[in-house]
Amino acid sequence: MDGNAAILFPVRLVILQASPFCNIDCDYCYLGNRLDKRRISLTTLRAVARFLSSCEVGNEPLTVCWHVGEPLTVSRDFYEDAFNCLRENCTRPSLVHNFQTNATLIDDDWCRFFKKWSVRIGVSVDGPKEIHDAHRVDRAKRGTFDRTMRGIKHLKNADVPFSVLCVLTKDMLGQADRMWDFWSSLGVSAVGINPEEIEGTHFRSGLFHSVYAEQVRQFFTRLTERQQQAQSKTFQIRELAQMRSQLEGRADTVVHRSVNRPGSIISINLDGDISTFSPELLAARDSPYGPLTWGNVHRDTWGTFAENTGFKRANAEVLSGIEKCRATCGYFAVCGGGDPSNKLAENGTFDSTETHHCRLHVKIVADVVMQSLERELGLDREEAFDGNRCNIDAA
Amino acid sequence: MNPSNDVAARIEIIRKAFEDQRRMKQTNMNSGVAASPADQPQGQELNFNNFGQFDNFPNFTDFGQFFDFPNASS
Repeated sequence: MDGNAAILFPVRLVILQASPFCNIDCDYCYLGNRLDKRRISLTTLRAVARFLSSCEVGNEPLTVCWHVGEPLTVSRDFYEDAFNCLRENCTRPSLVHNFQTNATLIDDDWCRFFKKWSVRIGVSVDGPKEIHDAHRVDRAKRGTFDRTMRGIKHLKNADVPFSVLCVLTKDMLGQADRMWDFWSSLGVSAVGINPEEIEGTHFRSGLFHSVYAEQVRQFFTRLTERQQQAQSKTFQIRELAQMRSQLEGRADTVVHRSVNRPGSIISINLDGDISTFSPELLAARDSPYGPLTWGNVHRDTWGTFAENTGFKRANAEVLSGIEKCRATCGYFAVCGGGDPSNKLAENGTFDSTETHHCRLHVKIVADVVMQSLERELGLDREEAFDGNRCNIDAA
Repeated sequence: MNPSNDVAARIEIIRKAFEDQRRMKQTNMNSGVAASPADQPQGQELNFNNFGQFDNFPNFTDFGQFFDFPNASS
């Protein structure tokens, strides 16, 4: 490994863009070039493999997520060639492929492909029809719920396991019971909930008003109650499970976020441009830092990527922002310093602290889980809690 | 403000309570009472992979991945 790469952490996750194109047109999407039908070439994929071979990685299989565009708009034949190309040219530990998909194009042939290659599937679905269709629409503004559920039916019929990722919009607030019942009906083991964010070309979020923060708190509180009431083993909710795991750690537990550790996540677009930190930065435009890609697989190695001047400046500011979080935020012990892409999108700089996203996705979740654990552990402090929870009016 | 009202202090109190539980279970195990794998002490460092998979939830990795893309755009 090049000596200059010492500032980089081992790669844990690789984001690959097969194509920017998406066959649907969610109104909260942050990507600006979703009509671009180009796809990554095998020449670039060979260069990706060479680049990954130069990276420091752990011993476990390296996770490759195909995303930043709907991956299933590209043909299975392409992925057969792509997976073989990466397997033959990458000297690093074996690769585990993942698709984050809207599921609208999944059919039996795709399911056979997923099984053949042991591809892991994450489905983006926002809940019951009217909640999902309020935002997840096609270019004719028609809801996509029925098409997504058809794809999920194929997955279930073929016994292809999948997780669910949903965007928490204001349409979902007050609907925690319906959401819980919907997820239960899908038979998934795990659900991730991302609050609607300000990112990329999505400049406004319906949730970014302090009036909704209390409803977000109630939403997560009700999900916690449903989880506790469940008679049998049920699915995990990522936000609650992760927070509980962090609170169960030893007193000196250090929580790290891959999104703010340089190198942990490597994102590569169809032209071979490389970014790190939050994958959303790959698609960021008009940043005060200039382009947020700091190398290209056709010419760079792990070492030369680490030497990039723009990367070093960004890294210094990300680190400074983390230190400011450490110095000023009581939630740092369960957060690790926030997400650079949210800091940039909301505060205009990596070198900053609190975002509305972290209030909704970290602080409120922490408040809810801490309160639940305090009851569970006999540390009840109801009257103190009310005076000590995340200040939602700070927004 | 009472230190116990501070968020960081609450986190510390909860973690110490879990440590006490684990220590007690370990004591029980040493005296012949079995502990489940879930009762074992956790490592010092948790990797909170907010974007990617559940690094510390091996059972989750059998069921696909979570990718914290904003707005789950795909």
